[in-house]
Amino acid sequence: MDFLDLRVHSLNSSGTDSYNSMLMQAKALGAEIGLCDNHSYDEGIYSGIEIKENTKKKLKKSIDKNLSGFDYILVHGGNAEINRYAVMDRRVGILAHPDKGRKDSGLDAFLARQAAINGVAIEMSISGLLNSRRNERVKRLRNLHANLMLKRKYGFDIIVTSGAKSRYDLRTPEEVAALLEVIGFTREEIVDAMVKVPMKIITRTRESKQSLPQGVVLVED
Amino acid sequence: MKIKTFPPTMREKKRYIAYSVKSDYQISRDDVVKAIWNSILGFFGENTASQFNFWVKDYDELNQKGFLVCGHRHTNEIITALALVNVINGKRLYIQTKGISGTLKSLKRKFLNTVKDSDNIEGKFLFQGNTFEAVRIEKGFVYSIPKDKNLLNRLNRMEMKFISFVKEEVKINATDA
Repeated sequence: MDFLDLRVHSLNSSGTDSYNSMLMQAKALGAEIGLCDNHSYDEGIYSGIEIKENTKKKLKKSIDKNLSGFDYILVHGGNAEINRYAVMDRRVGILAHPDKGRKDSGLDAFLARQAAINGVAIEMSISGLLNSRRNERVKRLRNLHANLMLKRKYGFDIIVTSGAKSRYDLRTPEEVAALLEVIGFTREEIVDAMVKVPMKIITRTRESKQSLPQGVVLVED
Repeated sequence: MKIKTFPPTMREKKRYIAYSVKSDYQISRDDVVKAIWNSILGFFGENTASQFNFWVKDYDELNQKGFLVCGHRHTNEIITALALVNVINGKRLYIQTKGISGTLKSLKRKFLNTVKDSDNIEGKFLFQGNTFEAVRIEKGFVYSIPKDKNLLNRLNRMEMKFISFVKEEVKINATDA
């Protein structure tokens, strides 16, 4: 079992360990990580950016500005307006924790359909479960089940991340797979969420950078 | 009168799960047992946990390794509960599952052999303009305490003591530190 974890923070953003240390730690656990630090790393290290804005105008501006520098773009969800904009923008790779600070799961049928059409993956974060207890954890699990039900109906992608900010937040692929199985994911959904969807997001972003914008034709001499 | 034990075919099959505890602090046996029980009861509840047939068997405080036993159909649930432990008594920890085995003998041979590669050190180094005090080197990692107040606050918020670096990326006691 492999695991490509696309939301990991190092000392360069809000984490507590150097990025080399996180990379080595993840390797020791048998996982591969992408660092979501708003920082471009050397080739061979997946580097992403987590955009946190409170209006869609600012979010659009931020995506325009950062698209070229990173392997994937992750939008910090929770706000209804931001969730809606994120799932409708093809350049966004992942909508992180759409239920943050909300009573509902942050997605409805319309947003689920848009996420499926535009290929935006919805994140399921392990740190959300780790750092919550009792009724808070129950709420998160309930929202997760609601999103899983929407995924099965509308076919958008779910991606699992550790949301790690320290070496103790990283988990082995076997532990993540066991957790997902207990929650109710099928074997196929587990492989998709842990490997296929993260790879798809990175490949898509890289391809979109190389392709020409809509309406532009390359004329050769 | 002594009650007869079940014949082997009627006994539930067991699985032994080896784990190691990773933390900046020394974690006692009582804390580990309490953390595991709390996690299992908190996540699955008393009724479901009663079906797992699990028991925390042994924990070596010196090497921070131990094992527990459970029914062979419930290993996923136990691994999940272990993975969900992240703090006990204000001390950050991670319980990593090392492996599963059907017999105690093979579990000890495969997963519980003890090779400790840890040294206490003293020294300072600079990283991205911040000064750090190196405390320990373990398995290629340097564990250090930052001098910067913001980083110290960040560590305290996350109930941790040390920031880790890879040995090769820091120069301890270099002239510019």
